[in-house]
Amino acid sequence: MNDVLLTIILIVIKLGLVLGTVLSLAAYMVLAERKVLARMQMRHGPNRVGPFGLLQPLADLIKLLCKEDLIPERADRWVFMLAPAISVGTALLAFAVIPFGAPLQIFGRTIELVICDLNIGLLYLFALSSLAVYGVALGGWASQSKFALLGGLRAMAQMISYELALGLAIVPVVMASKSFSLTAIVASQQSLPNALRHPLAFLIFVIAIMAESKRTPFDMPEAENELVAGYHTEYSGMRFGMFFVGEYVNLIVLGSMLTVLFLGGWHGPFLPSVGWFLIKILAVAFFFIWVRGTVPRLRYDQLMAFGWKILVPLGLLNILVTAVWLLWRG
Amino acid sequence: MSFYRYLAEGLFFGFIVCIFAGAFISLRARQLMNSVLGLAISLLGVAGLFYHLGSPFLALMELLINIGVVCVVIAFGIMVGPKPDQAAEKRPPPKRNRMLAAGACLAASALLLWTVLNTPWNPAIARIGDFTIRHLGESLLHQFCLPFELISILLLVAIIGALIIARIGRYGARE
Amino acid sequence: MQMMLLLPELTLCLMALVFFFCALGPCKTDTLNNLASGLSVLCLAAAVAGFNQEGMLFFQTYRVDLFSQLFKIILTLGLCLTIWSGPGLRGIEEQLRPEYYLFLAVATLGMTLLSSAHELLTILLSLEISAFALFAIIPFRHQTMRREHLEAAIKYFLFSAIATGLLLYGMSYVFGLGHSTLLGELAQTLPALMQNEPLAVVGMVMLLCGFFYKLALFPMHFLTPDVYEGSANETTSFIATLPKIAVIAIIIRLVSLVGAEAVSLTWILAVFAVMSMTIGNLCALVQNDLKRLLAYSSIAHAGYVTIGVLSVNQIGFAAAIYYMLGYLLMNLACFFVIYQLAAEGENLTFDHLHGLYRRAPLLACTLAAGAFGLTGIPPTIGFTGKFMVFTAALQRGHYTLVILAVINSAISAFYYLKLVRAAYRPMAESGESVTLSWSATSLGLFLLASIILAGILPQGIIALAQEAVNSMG
Repeated sequence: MNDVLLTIILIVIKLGLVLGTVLSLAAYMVLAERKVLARMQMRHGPNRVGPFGLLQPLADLIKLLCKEDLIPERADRWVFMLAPAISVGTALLAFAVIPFGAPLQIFGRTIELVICDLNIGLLYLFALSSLAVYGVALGGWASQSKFALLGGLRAMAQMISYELALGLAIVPVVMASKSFSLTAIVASQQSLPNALRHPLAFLIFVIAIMAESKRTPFDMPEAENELVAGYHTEYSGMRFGMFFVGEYVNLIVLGSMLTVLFLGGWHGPFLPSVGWFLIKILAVAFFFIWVRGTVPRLRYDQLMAFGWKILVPLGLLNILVTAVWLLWRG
Repeated sequence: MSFYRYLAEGLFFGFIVCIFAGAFISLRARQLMNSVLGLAISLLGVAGLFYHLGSPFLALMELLINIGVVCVVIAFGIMVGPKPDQAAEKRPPPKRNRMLAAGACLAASALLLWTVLNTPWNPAIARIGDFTIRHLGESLLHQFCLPFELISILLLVAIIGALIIARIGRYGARE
Repeated sequence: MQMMLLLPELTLCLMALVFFFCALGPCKTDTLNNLASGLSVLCLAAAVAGFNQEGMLFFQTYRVDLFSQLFKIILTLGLCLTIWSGPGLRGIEEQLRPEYYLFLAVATLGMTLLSSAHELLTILLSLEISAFALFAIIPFRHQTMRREHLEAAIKYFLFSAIATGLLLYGMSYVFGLGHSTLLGELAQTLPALMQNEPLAVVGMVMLLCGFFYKLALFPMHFLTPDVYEGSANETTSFIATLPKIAVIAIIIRLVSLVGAEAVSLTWILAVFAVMSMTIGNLCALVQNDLKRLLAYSSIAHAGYVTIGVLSVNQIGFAAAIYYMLGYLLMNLACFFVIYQLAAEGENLTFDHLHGLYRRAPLLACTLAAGAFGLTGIPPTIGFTGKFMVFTAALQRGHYTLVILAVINSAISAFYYLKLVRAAYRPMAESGESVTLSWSATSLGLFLLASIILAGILPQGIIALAQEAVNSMG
């Protein structure tokens, strides 16, 4: 019984740590994005609240919490209230399987730095990231507003389409490491990160996660000059905040997915493993912000055609090539 | 280790409740979208059952595939279905039909329940202990290779058929 | 040689592939037509070539024996005849003709797979392959007609989904009790279960209901008339014949698996058969649209053939096979006449038949042969078929059933003969005559001859059918 208790306590500690880190990281990601974007556009960005604007996320939080929570009159109340929760919930749950460091040795116990080492962790991650579609689609529909509906539909079509490319890009990695477990995939990259082993898959994956996170150049669902704000047009207060946080948490999830699958996970010289993991995620996030600052938005039909006619066939071809290579190598 | 057993039993009944609740929402919903949502909940419960049976792989695959399915239905529901304010005014079926339908359903479920409860279910000999992906893959490509291949033919036929039927609609619009 | 075992299926795949590539570019109807005729004959030849093959394939899931090979010959013969009897595909949207042939080939492929399938999942999937192909071709009808074909397609699709649901539900019970999906293993456990467990009977009936949908037997018959009426003439002639033959094959396999001792199943089947005959025949009396009439007639015939199946003996099964062959020929004869008469691919009523004996003597004669056959008047194949089926039922002592069936046959004579009367009623002014191409003429003669010859000389076919039933083992 003692053992069970200890396990539970350990899980709770890990959960608390991960959730705290992720949420605060998400909050500061918003600030970082605003700052970096501002720099790229020769502005200063938020700098009034606290030194260098460091308290800005806190101020935003207070503002969102104090705002009036509006629900449109004809909205489907239950679905309207459920949608943001799905959005945040799925993004946060995804962290359960991500290994964020090398196993620790404390008091003779080996502690895996992952909340739950599922042997099909990759599929779990994948399933949750597609569950997030529900939040967006339902939120867009429940608002009973044309902009929101269009945004929701677009987001749904886009995410489903790119989910396919995403899945196809993962297959070669699984084939090479012979496991769906993220820990095993990380372990297989000790000598060489997968990005170098499967460059094409890496490329497809990066593009697909950009589309999955609905960011420029794939931010059609919330294209502000056509759709106001897309699926969350009608949301206000903390419900909007949940969508917002969900989006940034999702960004971190996708960043860590990229890190785990292609950038060697927590492997790296000199620094502790958790540090490497954080550095890699932040680098990915910076890359995303950088892309947002430089690349223009695609047209919707271009986006769909690109996904279905280029990424998916390329992904299939890549699987074929990897299979041949694996067979040939024995 | 009875704690884990209780947990498992509790989860099992949770999934069952989930399936039934989803089905009920789906049936009683006034709007198409709510009934799609009910479907999604119900399918979530089914995925849970797979998990309870010891195959998380199947559970997650079920989840993944059904998300795609439900999203397609949502898209169709939005584009083809009635507008929410139209859906509210639903005409109830005639009373006689309703009584007949209720009678038929009750009779059928009573028959099924009675027979199911009166059947001594012999558990099959546990032929396989593991439901790992390796085992699934082997059975799909050995024992069930023919059905596995037939599924691909079936999907191909379905895709071609769907594309062509969609095209027929386009001819109609042009004429 | 493993290839020989799958020769008919492979040839059908080839046919499907050829039309797939035809569908990619523009293709003239004549070319298509010749291709289809040629390839369907090739399929028939392949089926005949694979006649004596025997073997178990794919880990006991696919059984090639005399029974399945016989059905494959009948199925490919049916494909040949439907393609030959509908040249030019007048009722089908022009851009969709290559796809139409593609789906015909795929549907037939599904049916041949069904006749050999020896495992529940394989059975389900082969059934669905043929069904999906049919869903696709029903709405191919020409758009200038009324839009009934869309209604037909939607109905066919939705109710088929329900039927598949029933089928799967039944399968889950059968699997739960028998612990296997392989028919070979179920054969050892199921007969005992059928006698002791009511649930096995319920499961089996639900399983069979999925097939009854295709057969248009009583509880699953109700949308047949709408579907037949809404589909194009050539599509109807396909839907009305081939799926039923394939489904009879699998039903015979399943019922023989359960064994003769399952009295409750026999009872249920008997009730279905009687209801089916009665409803079909009574409703057919008042129809004016020829395809609707043939739809109700097919419901009635599903009842007759079920009598052969529920006798659960060698002669009963053989009679059912023979009956289905006869049904194929007679129905195709009727649909052949309808297709030839409907210049625009429209639906025909009795009025269109007036003066037919003068306008096109051959067509009138073929129609008469078909109608006489469907009634069961000697010396046609229909008479012999009914006679065999009833004999089988009498052997098992189902006297009431036979009496009811005979009464039903008498009722049916009324509307079948109405067809003949309409075609042969003397007319003052003769309408425009129908010109037949040489291939149509020869096809008419072939149908006419086969209906009568197979009726007069049934021994060979019946001996073959009996041997096939024995080979099922």
